[in-house]
Amino acid sequence: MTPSVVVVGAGPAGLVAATEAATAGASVTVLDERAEPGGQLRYRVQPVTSGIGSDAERPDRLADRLLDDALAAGVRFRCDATVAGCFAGLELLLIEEGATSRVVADAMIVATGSTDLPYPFAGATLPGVFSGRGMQILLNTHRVRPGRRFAIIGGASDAEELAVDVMLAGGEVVWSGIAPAPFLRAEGADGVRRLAVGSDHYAVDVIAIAVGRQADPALATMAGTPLAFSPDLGGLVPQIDDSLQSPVRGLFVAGDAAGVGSVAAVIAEGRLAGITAAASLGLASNEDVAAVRAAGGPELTWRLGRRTTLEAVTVQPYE
Amino acid sequence: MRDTGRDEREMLDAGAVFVCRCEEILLDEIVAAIADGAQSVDDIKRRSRAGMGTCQGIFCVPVIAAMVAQATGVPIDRVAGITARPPVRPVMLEALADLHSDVADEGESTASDEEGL
Repeated sequence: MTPSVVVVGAGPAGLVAATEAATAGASVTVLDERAEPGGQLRYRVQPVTSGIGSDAERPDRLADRLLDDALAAGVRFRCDATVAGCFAGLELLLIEEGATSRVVADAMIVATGSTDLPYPFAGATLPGVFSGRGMQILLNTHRVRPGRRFAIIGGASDAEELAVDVMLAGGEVVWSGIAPAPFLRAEGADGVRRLAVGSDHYAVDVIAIAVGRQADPALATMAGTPLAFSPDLGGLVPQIDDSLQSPVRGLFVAGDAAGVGSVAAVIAEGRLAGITAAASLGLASNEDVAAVRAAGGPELTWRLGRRTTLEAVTVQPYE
Repeated sequence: MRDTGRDEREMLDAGAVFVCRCEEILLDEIVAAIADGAQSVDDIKRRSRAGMGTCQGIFCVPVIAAMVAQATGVPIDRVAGITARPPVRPVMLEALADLHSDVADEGESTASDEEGL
């Protein structure tokens, strides 16, 4: 019987990992909770560099390209399919249209991406306060601009990208920056009307928090993968080896779920996870894995290098 | 930002900041849990319910971990998060009640229906 691989998450890392494993000969199924494969590439609109093809391109075009490659390699997709848990033996609990089922495969690649980092401040639960990526989904996927005057909290690339998205959607960025959380306060009776930054007040009706992202490796940790802390990779990340293999047999983690990075980096990592998974099933050689690793570029090398020094943080056993 | 002339701690209103949105746990409740002897993120979770809601700690754990590090002197890279448990996404009880077996590849069924959550 053909060895099976299940990939959780159809973002750039998951799509590429699936294509790589299927090309090597595995029977590959990709599960994704959204209606359409593509992950972050479906709700971002500014050009991204993929590392495959020379120029920056529109994220949705890149997603279409990666999806075409996967379909051509024989990858099957189950969308609107939410994985709610992972049990012993890498058994997944899947929810589709309100019905549950179990999925088991010979190998599993966790490519579940990232979530926005929190930045709690007074008033941050008022209607009108959003996470940065949530705001991107609202603006770019649903074409809804929830207000006119925006404040964006954050000082790095995520905040800069969101500011451009807001302006493209016809909004005005009234204030953008980073301040210690105790100096911030969202004000308004039934929704955001002002943002106080220290003693300054800005009249806004939307506040977006885009201070960065963190890996979302919950399925990998649930299966028994230890976590380790890496400031370079965005905080707590799964402790996996430099071939992206977890200490849990048959489990691999790739892309933002293994530590936040650029689109080009997560694509390079997806490819490595796909070939490593295939090799674990006897479908590829160590030389194949080494070749994919060598072709991954400097950011992949840097990311893999970060992993070699990670030390697992212990979780206190539940007693 | 410009100097406001006020101390960070003076500005902080710990009774107005939700650290855990899902379970509506305020910053001062986390502070109180630490004052009561909580030494880890899991300790705080069990005392306060922070991290036990819909998002399963995605929103609160980085903040609580930083507070634990500050309070205990344990470096932040040595502070563990909470134990990941299913479900990582909300599940209707109706769907769980109807749990049946399936296998990704072929029709072969390997799972029993007794798997507890």
